[in-house]
Amino acid sequence: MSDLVLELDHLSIAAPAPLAAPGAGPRTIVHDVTLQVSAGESVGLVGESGSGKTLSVRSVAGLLPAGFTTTGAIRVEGHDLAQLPKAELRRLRATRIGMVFQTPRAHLNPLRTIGDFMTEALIAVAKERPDAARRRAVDLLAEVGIPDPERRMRQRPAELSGGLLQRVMIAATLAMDPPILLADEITTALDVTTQEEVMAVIADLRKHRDLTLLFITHDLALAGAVCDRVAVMQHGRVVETLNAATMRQDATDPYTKRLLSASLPGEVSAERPTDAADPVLVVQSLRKVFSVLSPKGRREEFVAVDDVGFRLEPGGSLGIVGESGSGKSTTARVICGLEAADAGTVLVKGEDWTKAARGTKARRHRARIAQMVFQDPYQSLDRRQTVRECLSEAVAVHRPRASRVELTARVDELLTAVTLDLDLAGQRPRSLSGGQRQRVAIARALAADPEILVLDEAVSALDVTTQVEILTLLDRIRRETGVALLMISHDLTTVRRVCDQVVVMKSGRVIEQGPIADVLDDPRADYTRTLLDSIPREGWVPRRRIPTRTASLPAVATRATRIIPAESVAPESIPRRGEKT
Amino acid sequence: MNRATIRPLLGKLGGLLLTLFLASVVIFAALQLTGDPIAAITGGVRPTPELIETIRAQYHLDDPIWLQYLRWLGGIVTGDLGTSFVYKTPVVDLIAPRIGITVLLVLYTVVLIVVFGIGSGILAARRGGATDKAVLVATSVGVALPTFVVAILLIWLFGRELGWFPVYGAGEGLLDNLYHLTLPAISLSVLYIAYLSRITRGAVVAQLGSEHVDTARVRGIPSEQIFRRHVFLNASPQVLSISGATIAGLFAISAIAEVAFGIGGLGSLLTEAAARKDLPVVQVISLMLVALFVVVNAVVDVIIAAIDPDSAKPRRNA
Repeated sequence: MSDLVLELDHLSIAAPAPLAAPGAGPRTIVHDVTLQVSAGESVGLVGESGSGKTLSVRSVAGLLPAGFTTTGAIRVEGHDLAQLPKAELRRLRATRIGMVFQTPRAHLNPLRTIGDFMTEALIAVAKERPDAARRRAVDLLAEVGIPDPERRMRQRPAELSGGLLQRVMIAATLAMDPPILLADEITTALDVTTQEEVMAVIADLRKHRDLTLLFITHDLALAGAVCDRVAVMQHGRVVETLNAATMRQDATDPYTKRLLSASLPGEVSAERPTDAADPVLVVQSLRKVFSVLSPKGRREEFVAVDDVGFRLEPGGSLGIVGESGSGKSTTARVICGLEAADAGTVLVKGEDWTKAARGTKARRHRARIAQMVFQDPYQSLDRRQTVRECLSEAVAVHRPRASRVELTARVDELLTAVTLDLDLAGQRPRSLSGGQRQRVAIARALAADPEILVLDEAVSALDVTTQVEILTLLDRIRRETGVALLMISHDLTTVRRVCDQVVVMKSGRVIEQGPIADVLDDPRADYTRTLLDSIPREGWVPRRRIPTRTASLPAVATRATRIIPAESVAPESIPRRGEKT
Repeated sequence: MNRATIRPLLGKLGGLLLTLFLASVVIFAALQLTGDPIAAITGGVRPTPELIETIRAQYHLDDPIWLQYLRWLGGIVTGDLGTSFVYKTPVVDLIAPRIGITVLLVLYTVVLIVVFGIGSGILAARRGGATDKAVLVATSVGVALPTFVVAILLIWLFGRELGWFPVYGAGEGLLDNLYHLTLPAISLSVLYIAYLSRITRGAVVAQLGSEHVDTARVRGIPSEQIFRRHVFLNASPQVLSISGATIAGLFAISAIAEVAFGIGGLGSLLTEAAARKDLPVVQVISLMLVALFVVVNAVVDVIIAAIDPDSAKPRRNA
C-alpha cells in the first residue's frame, strides 16, 4: 500500500447556516472521513443518498456548493489542496483528476457538439493544436467503444443515447490522461446492460492505463464487483472499509449487513396456484406506433409496441422487464388510457379498454379499477399540498358524499396501510424522504380501492434499502387487499421480489414470458440471459458486447438491431410457459 | 442545408405572410369604425353636398368595403401607398423623409439597451453580492418609470439644469443627429434596459449553476472561456428572444420620445395623423409597424434556431 495518490485526511464538510435561521451556524454533513487510495487501486465509496459520499468526492474536484466549508485535508499525489495557490490547484485538478458524473446528459453542454466537448480541454489547458486535438479525440472515442467516432464528433448530445454519452464523458475525461478518476454514480441512470458495457470500458481502461479509481455508488454489489476495497458511508461517516473480495464474510457493521442483504437477489415469491378465475386484465396483440422525424426531416414510423400480449390474474403480479426503448412504459400507458392503441385489445374485467375513456364519468369508472404509480415521487406529488390534503382529494374523487370525519378516517387507514406515521400527514412533500413520498403516491393510488395497480419504475429512483422496503410493502398490500400488480421495471431484481409472472420485452416485442422462477432460473431467450448476466454480483466481470443500440432514442427498430431476428419471434414461437399447449 | 432545416424556414415564411395579411385586414377594418372620413378630408370646412359627392367619388368611398380593401391592399403591394386626406400629398412623400430619423433613434436605443441591459445583467450575475443588489435596486426603479416621466426628468436635468444636451429637434447631419437623439434614446431605453438586465441576470445565473458548467470547471477550462462558450452561449436564446420582441416594439413607442422632444419622425407623424383622422397615413404606418415586428421576431427565431437546433423542432410526444 505505497504510493498514496489520493488521501482524505479527517475530512469534514459543513453546509452554511440556512437563510431562515442564520443564528444556527454551519451544519456539519460529512464527519471526519479518512480514506486512502493507492496508485492503481480502485476504491468504492458506498452509501445511500444523503450519506455524504457525493459531497466528499465533489470536495476533491473543487465542486462544493457556495458557502460549504471543509476541515481536515485532501491530498492529491502528496499536495495538500488547501495549501496550493489557485492557479496551481486548477492545473492540478485539470490534469491529474478526471471526474465522470451520474447524468451525462445534464453534464454536457446541449448546444455544443461532441467534438467541441472532446477537444476543448486539450486546446485550452494542454495547448494542443486543434487538428491534433481532433485526431486524439477520435482515437479516444474509439477506445471507449463508440462506433463511427468521426460522425459522433459532429453530433450534439441530444442525438446520442445515455450509454453513449456516458462513454463520451469518460473519453473526454481521459483526454488529459489523468491518473485519478472520480466516478460519481456513473451507471445509476443507465440500463443494466448499458451499465455492464460502461463498467467493462472502465475495467479495460484500468488495465491499460493504471488508473486510480474512486467509485461512488449506492449499489454495494456493483462496488464489490468492480473495486478492490469498499468504504461504506452512513450519515456522513465511514462506518467501515472492507476488502471487496471478502466483504460478505468480513462485514461487521449492521448497516453494511443491511445493504448487503438488500443487494442480494430476493427470494422468488412463492407461486400461487392460478385458479380458474377470469383474468382481470388481458392484453392481446397490442400495437402502438409513433410518428417521428428522421434526422433527414422525413416522417417515419417508430413501432414502440408490436404484437404484445399477456394476462394478469386477479390478485396476481406481473412484471414487464426491458431496457429503455423496449416499449414497456408505452404498454403501461396504453393500458391506463394515457395513449391510444393502434391495434390489438385491452380487456379489463371483460370490458374493452382499448380506446381511451371519454368524459369524466367513464374516466372515474376506470380510475376505480386501475391506478398508476409513477417513477419520480418528487414530481408526481403537488408540492403545495400536505399529505392529508393530497390523500383526501384522492378519496373524495371516489366518495364525493363522504363526510369530513369519514375522509379523515379513510386517510388514516391509507397511511397505516403504507406504514407511514400519522404525524407526517401535515407535512408537504419537500420535507419527506424519497421513500416516504413514494409511500404517499402508493397510498393515493390505493385511495380508489383499485383492482389493478400499475407501477411504472416505481422504485428505480430510490435507494436500495428503501427499494426493498417499498417492494415488501407492495407485496403485503397485494396479499391483504387482493389488488393485482402490474410492475414495469428495467431491473430484474426488483421484479423478482414481488412478481410471480414476468414478461421480457425488447424493441417493442415480447421476447419471453412465463412464471418468474422458470424465466429467471432457466431463461430460454438469449436476451433474457443477457439481462440476467448484466446484474452485478459476487465474482461478476462486466463484459463488452457489440453495442446493440447506437442511435439516440427513439431509435427505429430494425431487424438488424434486434438480438433475436424478427423472424424467430413470430407470435407463435414466443416461449409461453405455464400454459397448456 | 437539408430538408430538416429548410422545412421550418418555409413554414416560418408562410406564417409570416399570413400574419401580415391578417394584420392588414384588422387594421383596415378597425379604421373603418372611426367614422366618415369626409370631415378629415375637407379639413373642417363645411362642405356643400356637391363637394361631398365629388370627394366620395374621388376616394371611392361609395364602393363596398371589401372592394375598398382590395384596392388599398393592391396599391400597397404595387408600391402605391395612397394619398393623405389631410395634406393631399402621396403618403410615401410624408413617410420617406421622416423614416430615417426614426430608424436612427431606434438603432441608438437598441445599442443602449443591448450594451447596458445585457452588460449590467451579466455583471450582476457574475459579481453577485453588492453589485447584484445595486443592479437589482436600479432595475426595480427602471422598470417602474414610464417613458414620458423619464423624458421629462431628462429634459429638466440635462436640458435645463446642466444644459449638456439639446432637448428639441433632430439636428442636421449624422453627428448632430446623434447628439440630438441622445436624450430621446435614453428615455426610450431605461425601461427596457432594466427589463433586459433582469432577464439576462436570470438566464446567466441559471447557466452558472448548471451541471455542464461544473463539468467545464472540473476540466480546468479558463473561466472567461467557460463564460463565453458555455454560460453566455446557452443563456443567449432567452436573452435574444426578449431583445427581439423589445426592438420590434420600439418603433411603436418611439412616438412618445419623438413627441416629447419635438422630433419629426414616423412616430410623431403617426400620432398627428391619428389625431386628424388621416386614415391612409395611419393605415400604412400601422402596417409597417406590424411588418417590422413580425420580421424582426422571425429573424431572431432563425438566429436562435442556429444556436439551438432543437428549439426549431416540434416537441416529441413519447
